Amino acid sequence: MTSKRIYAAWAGVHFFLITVICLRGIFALVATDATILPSALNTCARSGEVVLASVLGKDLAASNPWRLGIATYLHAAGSQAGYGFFAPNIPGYHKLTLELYHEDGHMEYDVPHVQGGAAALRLDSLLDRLADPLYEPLREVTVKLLVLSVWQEHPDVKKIRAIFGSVNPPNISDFEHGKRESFQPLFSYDFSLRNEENQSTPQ
Amino acid sequence: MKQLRAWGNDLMVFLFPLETDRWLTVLRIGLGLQLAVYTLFLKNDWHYLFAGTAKGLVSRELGEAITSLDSPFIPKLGWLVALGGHIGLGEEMVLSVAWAGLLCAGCFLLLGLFCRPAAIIAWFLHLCAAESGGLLAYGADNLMTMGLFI
Repeated sequence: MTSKRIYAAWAGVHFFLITVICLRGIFALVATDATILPSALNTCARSGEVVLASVLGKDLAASNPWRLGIATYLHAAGSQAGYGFFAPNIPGYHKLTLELYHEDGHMEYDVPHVQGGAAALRLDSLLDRLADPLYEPLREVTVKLLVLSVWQEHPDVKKIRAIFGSVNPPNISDFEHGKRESFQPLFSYDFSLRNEENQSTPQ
Repeated sequence: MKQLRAWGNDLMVFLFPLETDRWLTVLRIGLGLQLAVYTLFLKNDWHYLFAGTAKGLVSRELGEAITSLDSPFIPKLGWLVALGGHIGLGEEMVLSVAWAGLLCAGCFLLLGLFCRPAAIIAWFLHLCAAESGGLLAYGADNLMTMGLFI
C-alpha cells in the first residue's frame, strides 16, 4: 500500500508539472496575441505566465537546486515543452541559400545538405526555428556552423554569403496564373573563410 | 475523516485498477518498433548530426550548451564521449556504439527480451541523442522520450 501511495503522489506531481507547462505555453501564446482571444487578455496572460514560470523555479538563480531538479526531471520525462507540436499548424518554410565564391572568381549556389529524409526533416525544423525571434542570439553561430559544414566540401572557396529567408507559396489564384513560390530574404551573413574574418549583415 | 479516507480508497482503485497488462505489451512493441525505425532512418546521418564542432552539420556541443542552460544534469551524448575518451574510445566509436545500443534496445523491446534493462538503456540513449540534438530535435523526440520514460 505504501508503494502505491508513493506512485500516486509521483503521478500527482508529474501531472501537476505537465499542467503548469501546458498552461504556461497557452498563456505565452495568448500574451503574444497569437490566438483569437481578445487582446485585452494579454496582460492577464502575461501575469499568469510569470506566475507559472515561478512555479517551475524560472525566477530562481540558475544554480538553484529546486530549479535544476525540476528542469532535469522535465527533460528526462520529455515534458519540458508544451504540446504545441500536436497543433494543426502548417509551419512556414524557410531556406538557407549559400553563395560560394571560389578563388578563381566563379560563384555557385549550394545549401546545407544531409543524406536521409529523417535528417532532412530535422534540418528543416532547425531552419524554421532560426526564423523565430526567440532564437535570434543563436542565429549567427548556427548559420556559421552550417556554412562550415558546406565549406568542408569546398575547400577552395574564398567567401560564403549565407542568405536566410522564407519561401512563400503563391495563393490558389496566383498558382493558376502560373506564379510559383517566392523567396523573401530575412537576413544574410558574409563569411570570409580564408582569413577567418566574418562580417554579419542582418537585413 | 471517513469521507476523506473513502475518497483516498476510490482514488487508489481508480489509479491501480485490476486489469491485464496487455496495454503494456502494446506500448512496448510500439516503442520498440518506433525506436528501431528511428535509428535505422538516421543511420546515414547519425555521425553527421551528432559529431562535434567542424565535423558535422551543426556542432553537438552547441546543442548541449543550449540544454545545459536549463540544467547541467540532463544526460547528453557528450557525457558518453567523455567517458569513452577515458577508456581510449574516440568520438566516432562512441557515437557508433550509442547508435548500435539504441537499435539493439529497440529490437529487444520489440521482441520482449530483457524488457526492463532494454527500456532503461533505450530511454537514456534516446534522451542523450534528443538533448544533444538541440536545435535539430523536434516534437517526435519529445513524444518518444515520454513513451520511454513511462
